[in-house]
Amino acid sequence: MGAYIARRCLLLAPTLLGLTILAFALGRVSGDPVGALLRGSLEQEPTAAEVASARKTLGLDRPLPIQYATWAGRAAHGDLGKSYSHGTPVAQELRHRLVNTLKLALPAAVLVLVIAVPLGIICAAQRNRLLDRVLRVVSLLGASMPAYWASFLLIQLLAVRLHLVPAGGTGGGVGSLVLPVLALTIGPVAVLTRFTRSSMIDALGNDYIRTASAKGLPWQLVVERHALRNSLLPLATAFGSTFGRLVAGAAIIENIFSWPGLGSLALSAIREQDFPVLQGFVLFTGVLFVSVNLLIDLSYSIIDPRVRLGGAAVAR
Amino acid sequence: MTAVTVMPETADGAADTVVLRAAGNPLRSLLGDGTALLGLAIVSGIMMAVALAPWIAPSKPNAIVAPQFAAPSRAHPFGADHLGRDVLSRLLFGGRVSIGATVVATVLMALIGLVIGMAAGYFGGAVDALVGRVIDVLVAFPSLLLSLVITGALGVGLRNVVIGLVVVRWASYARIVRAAVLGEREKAYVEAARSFGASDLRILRRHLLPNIVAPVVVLTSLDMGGILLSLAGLSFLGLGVRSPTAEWGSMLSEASAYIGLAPHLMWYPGGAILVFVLGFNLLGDGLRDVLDPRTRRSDQ
Repeated sequence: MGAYIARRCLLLAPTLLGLTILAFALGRVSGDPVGALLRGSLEQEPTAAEVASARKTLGLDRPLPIQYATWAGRAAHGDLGKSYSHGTPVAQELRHRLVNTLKLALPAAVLVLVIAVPLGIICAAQRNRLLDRVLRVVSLLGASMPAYWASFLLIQLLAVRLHLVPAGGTGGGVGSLVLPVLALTIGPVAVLTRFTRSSMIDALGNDYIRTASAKGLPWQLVVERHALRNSLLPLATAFGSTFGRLVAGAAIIENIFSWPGLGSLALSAIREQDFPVLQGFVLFTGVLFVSVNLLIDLSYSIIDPRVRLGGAAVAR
Repeated sequence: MTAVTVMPETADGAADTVVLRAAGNPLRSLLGDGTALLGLAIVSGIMMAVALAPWIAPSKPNAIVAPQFAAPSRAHPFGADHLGRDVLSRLLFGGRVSIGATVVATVLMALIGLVIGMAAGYFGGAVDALVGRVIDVLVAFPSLLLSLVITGALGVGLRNVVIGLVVVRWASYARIVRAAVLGEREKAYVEAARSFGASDLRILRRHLLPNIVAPVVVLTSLDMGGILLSLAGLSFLGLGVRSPTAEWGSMLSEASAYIGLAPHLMWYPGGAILVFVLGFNLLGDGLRDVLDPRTRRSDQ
């Protein structure tokens, strides 16, 4: 087990290196950030001398590889520089925003699991009966629904018509969580329901299921003990990407509900051309997703011993 | 190396593993499949309507032809927007932009993924290692998030939205193509071609390409709905077309400012996106069933 984890972590090194290059490059694709920075702070077109001196202060006059090395070296120590527009440390802002995003993404993730997995199992067990057909249509609609549109329908219904919850902001306590979490949940619930259904149906098609029911095991136990366990592995993968989708989906949803999370930070950084924040955002979320994927990979080895014993060749 | 199942972010994000095995005549089974047929009808209906927009739309997309927020009438079946522009016309012309950009983006990412994936799978070695690492980095992110940042860094505009999507999503195509080439590379027909003195390029083009093009086509149709969702989403956030150009995502964003005054204005662009994506999801479902007899058998 230890060796497996070590090997898996070693594989991360090139990915992390790539992430830093990607993040650094993104801050440079639209050219020199100094112009944008000075226009913002001076509120007029900067002179050539001002640009030159700002470049020197920020170290932007040095060769790109050196700039990259400096930036990456600091990032390794948790220093992502300061925001051009607000002067606040980027790392601190990111941590603060992550907490807000997780306030949406975690309840949404729990909701998705609690709703989608049972629904998918029911669909698979009741395959092609009425309930399954209805749920399939509903989940297909849910999966095709733009989350940003669903948000407005929810605002219209729950906030404007029924006045049940606030339409946006963070002021309303738990009430202000309801709409963004619901909006965030719809798509992933639909997708994971469909996925659970098909992976359960796959599992139910196996010979050992026929054996189990032939030996007289009640159907419910067949589903619970044999089919469900064998569809856990693909489910874990699917849930991992669902979590990623929730955090990413939050980028749009946060904007609609004026929720101060990671996504709205990225969007305001884009509007203000605040490159340190953008670079930090890419690196930070990249590391976040890589870690989540790592945890999921490691969870395979708990769910399925073949993964850690025999390596990939046996598992797939 | 690791036991990660390949999970393309398909149209609905349906995180199914794409398993592809052609069974019989795929086209005939596709036409016999009710789901796929419905999807095909929806998709081709919408595409035809937006293609014919200049001839069937009641007015020009930016022409002011009615009072502000005019209710639906015979002349303006979906009413008018906050400037008095005909909503149906904007929807039809906007669809040209949304769907056109989606098609361009999809074709580009599929082509890039095909070329890079084939090169990586066929030549192996350092090329493969490099491509593999790049793919790892790109798929570490949920694609929308990275597209958002790339588009943002490049600046507002539909072209940059397309670039943002292509730069990220070619990787999932390359990954699948690479795996397919690895499976084909050692087969007898490739060896036979090589023993006749065929060059690498010829083997890739004449022998491998025809054998791996099918999964790419399927993935494309599974993906198209999701790409339109992302594209309209980025455009909704204000990164896409500039006003007054009509586009489904930006129409939704414009309408959202008047949610209290004229909530019905949001129904049209939102509904158009929903129906189009639904069509592609149905089509993709059908295609998957047809090409993967395993799910077909277990589903019927």
